[in-house]
Amino acid sequence: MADKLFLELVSPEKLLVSSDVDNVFAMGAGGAFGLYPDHSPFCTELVPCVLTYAIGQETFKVIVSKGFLEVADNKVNVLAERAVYVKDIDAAKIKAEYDALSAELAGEIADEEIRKEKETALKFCETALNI
Amino acid sequence: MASARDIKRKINSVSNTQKITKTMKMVSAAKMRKAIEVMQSARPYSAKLAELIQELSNRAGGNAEHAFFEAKEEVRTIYLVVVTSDKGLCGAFNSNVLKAAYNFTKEHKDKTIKIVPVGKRAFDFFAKRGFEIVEKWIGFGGKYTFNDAVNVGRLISKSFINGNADEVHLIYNEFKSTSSQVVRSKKLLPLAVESGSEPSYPDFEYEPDVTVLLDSLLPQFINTSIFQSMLESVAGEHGARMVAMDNATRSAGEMIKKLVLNYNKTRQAAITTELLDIVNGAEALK
Repeated sequence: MADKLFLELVSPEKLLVSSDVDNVFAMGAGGAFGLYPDHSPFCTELVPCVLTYAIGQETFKVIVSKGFLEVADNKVNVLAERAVYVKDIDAAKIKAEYDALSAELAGEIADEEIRKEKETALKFCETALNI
Repeated sequence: MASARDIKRKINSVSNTQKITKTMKMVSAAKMRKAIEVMQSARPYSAKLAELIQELSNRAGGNAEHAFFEAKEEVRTIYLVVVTSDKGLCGAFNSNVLKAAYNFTKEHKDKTIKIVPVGKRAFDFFAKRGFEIVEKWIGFGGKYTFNDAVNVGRLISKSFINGNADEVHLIYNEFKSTSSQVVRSKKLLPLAVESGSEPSYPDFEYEPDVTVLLDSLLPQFINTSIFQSMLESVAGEHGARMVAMDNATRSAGEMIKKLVLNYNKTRQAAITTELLDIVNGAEALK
């Protein structure tokens, strides 16, 4: 029986995490879930949320926007369109982005896909500001 | 024959140019290091995404149903995404990729080719030759964000789904090393997934289900491929510019050496002439 999970969290901009962890918690399309070693193979779509993982006594928090999570053979792959450590959040920048997105969404956006993308970005900002 | 003063002026001019090329080389070297870092950081994401798609497709028995996998019976219109730089002075970097893209249009003469240029050089080249430009993506100065790739990806995905494009191809420079960039051409749509392999984990659980996951994953894969090509191109551009500027600096150095030699010869000749004049003058006075 394995006692660790190997977590790799990547965004298009960089590889954020690549290490052995004790557990991973996140929010998927079907709700919140937790992963421990020897979890059954599982793949889900992620929604904007705070992904947490623990290494020993230390807990790390990463804000992720939409993406995918896959676990198999004690390896967890997280592909996030955008990801940032809570400790690295630039509150002023996120607030400015949040305000700009709110203003845009209050107006007319003809393209449904663009609207959805902006809503996801807004949720990401909301999650980052509320932490 | 040019006078010593003319040659001196030319030497000054060439050494000023040499200063500029030397500075450009150093700037490109710094930018390239940063661009390589960004490019390498993006690689794991696209690799993982490709793995995941392969796994999902295997799960669907190699017959995953999605509009992106469907090859059109008759290919009439091809969208060609050409990634170049905005600026020049980078040797054959742009001309290589443009040549490959132009050859592609010649090979597919019987089809309508529409261009999606990423970078000013590609836009100028194809607009001048009368090709239809679907939408241009220029003026980013090599600072692409994932959002820019999403915008290009959205355009081509939509065009493929609503039938405006029957195929989408991508041509760009892949960064191999500072001195080597290789032109890559690949078909973006319809997507080709290797079939025949067994799923790695038979009892996989999907949430919500494979089709919904593919719906989100595949456009993301297209966006990532475009983003990766943009980053490779930026790193390659700086590498090519660095080499081009290094060559220019060296050539300017050689030119200065020749000009100095010439200048000295001219100066020597002037002194000799002057001496002769003096000697002749003295002789005449005797």
